[in-house]
Amino acid sequence: MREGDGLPDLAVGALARAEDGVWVGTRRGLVRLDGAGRVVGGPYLQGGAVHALAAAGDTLWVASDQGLMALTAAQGVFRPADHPPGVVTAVAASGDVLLTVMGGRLLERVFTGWRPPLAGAEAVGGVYVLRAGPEEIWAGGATGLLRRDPASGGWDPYPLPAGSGVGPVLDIVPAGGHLWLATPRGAVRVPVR
Amino acid sequence: MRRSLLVMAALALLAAPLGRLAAPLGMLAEPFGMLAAPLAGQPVRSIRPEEVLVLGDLADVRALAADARSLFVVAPSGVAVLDLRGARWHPPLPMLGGYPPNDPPVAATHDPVENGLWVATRSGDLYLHHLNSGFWTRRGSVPEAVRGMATDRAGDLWIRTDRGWLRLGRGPLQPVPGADPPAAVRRAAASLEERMAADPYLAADAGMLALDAGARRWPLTAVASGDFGDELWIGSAGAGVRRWSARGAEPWRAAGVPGTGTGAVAGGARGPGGARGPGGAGASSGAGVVWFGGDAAGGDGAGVAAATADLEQWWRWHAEDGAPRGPVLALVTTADAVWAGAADGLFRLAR
Repeated sequence: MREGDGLPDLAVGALARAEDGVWVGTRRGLVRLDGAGRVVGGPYLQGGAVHALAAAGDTLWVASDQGLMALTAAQGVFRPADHPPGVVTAVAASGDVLLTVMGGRLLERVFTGWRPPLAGAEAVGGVYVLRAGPEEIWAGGATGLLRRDPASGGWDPYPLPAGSGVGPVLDIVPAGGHLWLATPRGAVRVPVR
Repeated sequence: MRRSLLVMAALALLAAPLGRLAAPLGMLAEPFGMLAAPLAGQPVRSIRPEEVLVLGDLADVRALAADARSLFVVAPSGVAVLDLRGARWHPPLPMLGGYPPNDPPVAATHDPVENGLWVATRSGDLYLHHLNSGFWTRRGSVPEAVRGMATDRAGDLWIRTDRGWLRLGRGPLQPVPGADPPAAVRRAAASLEERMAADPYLAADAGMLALDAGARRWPLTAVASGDFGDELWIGSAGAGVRRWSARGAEPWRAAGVPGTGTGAVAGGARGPGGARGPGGAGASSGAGVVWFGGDAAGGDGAGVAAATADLEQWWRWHAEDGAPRGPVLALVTTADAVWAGAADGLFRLAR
């Protein structure tokens, strides 16, 4: 699909599964496509770039130039989330846990609001990407990974070997007992322990 | 501490593809000294270098070597290993720990004595990968451009250069004067052009490839003898390898990910044609098939690849197959398709 086919911009930087297709985040807003690739919703949020998407429960979270936005099935419109103002570059949601990244710093929503930058982001040189799996949440940074302990809510750092030239971590997916990372040096497989 | 972190962030910024600059620019604007004190009492799970497998573009073949069971497919970004009997891929040889950086391979040969793989680089350096230990060591260099390599029955390493043959004994690599290789070594170290000159069927096949608009994108680059009769393995700069004999040629097959870097990864239960990886659907360890999006802007480095999580099967799509030509920034799998978000649009691959 190209710009003229219904995308608000040619550059597509974020994707998330929708109920019957995909959400597509571009440099100038967001659309929803059905499984055949037809635009069935949007464009939304055309005021800036969409950097990351996270679908959880009945809510789609959007990390964007306009901040953290949320679309709930009940409301049917995108609204700014209760979040510190500024560009949000990554978001992950799993159960009651909601995480974002602003300026390379990790933020976590707690019942009193948003927790100040968590210990751990510094250990990986700032966070680029968040990925929520069925059991755990991973953050990828300039020099390694962070894993959120689902029991304690703490973060365990997994630094990549010093001097290996591997990093920053741009994307993460678990598969076959390993983590697979997208990096400027290629794809990287590391063990999960 | 703060200064070193800023340097690390700056290096990361230099390494990041253009499409991903938003996050690191934001990082540099934030003073790291304001972050909370890190990791008091938190365990640090070190990832050892030997546990890290880096997957580069292994379809860009520069040299081939074979033993009785495996074909070693040598590329600038690593070495793929094809099981000759089962026609499946093994995990690539590890790159971290000594694979020649920024010095493309030009020749390779299997070493039955040390159970290793010799690789000669463009600058004349000689590396040996020990298949048992998994480490690379630089074992010396030769002053002339290397054109081929082979070992003889006694285990000596023969290197063919622009100025003739060098025979290198075991231990410290020292040229042995008066080198005159046996016929088997000459044949094993012969170039693709020499093989074609000696075999009209092979030359005709190469000529057919040159006439094919799709195939001639990838020049033929390397040759190695197979394990049956007149079989050869032919390598190309972009399409991987294929088995050839006077009776015909098999389709190209390639391992590795497109491009010099990877922009996105995703997992899925199934690969193309319904192929399932070892994890299968719903496995707690994650998906059975991994999808990779290249971050190269155009050329043969762009595109999408997929592999079963055990890395035994690989698939690849280039821009000519309908895959992105620009850097892939996001991937997601749905029940019946894989979606790639790229700098040049949105792409859907039906499975």
